[in-house]
Amino acid sequence: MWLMTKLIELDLEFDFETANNAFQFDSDELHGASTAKRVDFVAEYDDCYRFIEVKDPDQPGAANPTAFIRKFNSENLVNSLAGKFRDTLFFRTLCADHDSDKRIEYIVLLSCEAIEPAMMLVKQDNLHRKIPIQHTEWKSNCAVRCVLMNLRQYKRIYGESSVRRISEGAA
Amino acid sequence: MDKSQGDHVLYHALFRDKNDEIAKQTMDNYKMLSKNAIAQTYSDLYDAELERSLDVAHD
Repeated sequence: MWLMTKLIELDLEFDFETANNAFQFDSDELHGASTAKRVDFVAEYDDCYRFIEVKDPDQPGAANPTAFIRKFNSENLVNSLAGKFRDTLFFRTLCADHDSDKRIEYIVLLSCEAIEPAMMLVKQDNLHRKIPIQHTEWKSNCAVRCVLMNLRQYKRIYGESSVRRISEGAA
Repeated sequence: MDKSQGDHVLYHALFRDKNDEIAKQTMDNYKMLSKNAIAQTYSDLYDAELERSLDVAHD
């Protein structure tokens, strides 16, 4: 692992300039033959770790955007997202450099103009239940923030230059 | 209604114009309605929910 400011997933380039560390977590080099599911990136900040998963059916030439919408409307996508989070959390919390005092934010960036905000809200609630991030048997809530956001919202929250579509040029 | 059989659908949005008169916008594609108060409300709710979840504030 090494510090990198910019990381690429599909047609999107992310700038982690304000992070202390950021790396491609979904890497065979890192995980070897493990079947653990993985989020795409992990970024470390002073007060949190950010697990970032990218879905980009809006990328030019995307293989089958219609199939993605079907997956979104079924439970398959949320189940997959929940599994990636749990496996990543398991892996990361056992790492020697993990700081358990930092909260964890799970950011799912879903770039798909065809999906209405109302549906994103519903899926975010589903994801909270599937992970889960709280449970009646727990003495406290899991210290996790979990959101599903589109490209507009990602830029709005993390800054206009935090992500760009490579095919549109202009760094 | 079956669009594949040639049935046509139009979407209308009603709103008040700058003179406070009721006006309408009509499109054959729902996503092209720019005066869609219902969709805008969901969008605003979504933004607010994200800010609440991440404990960040934006104007």
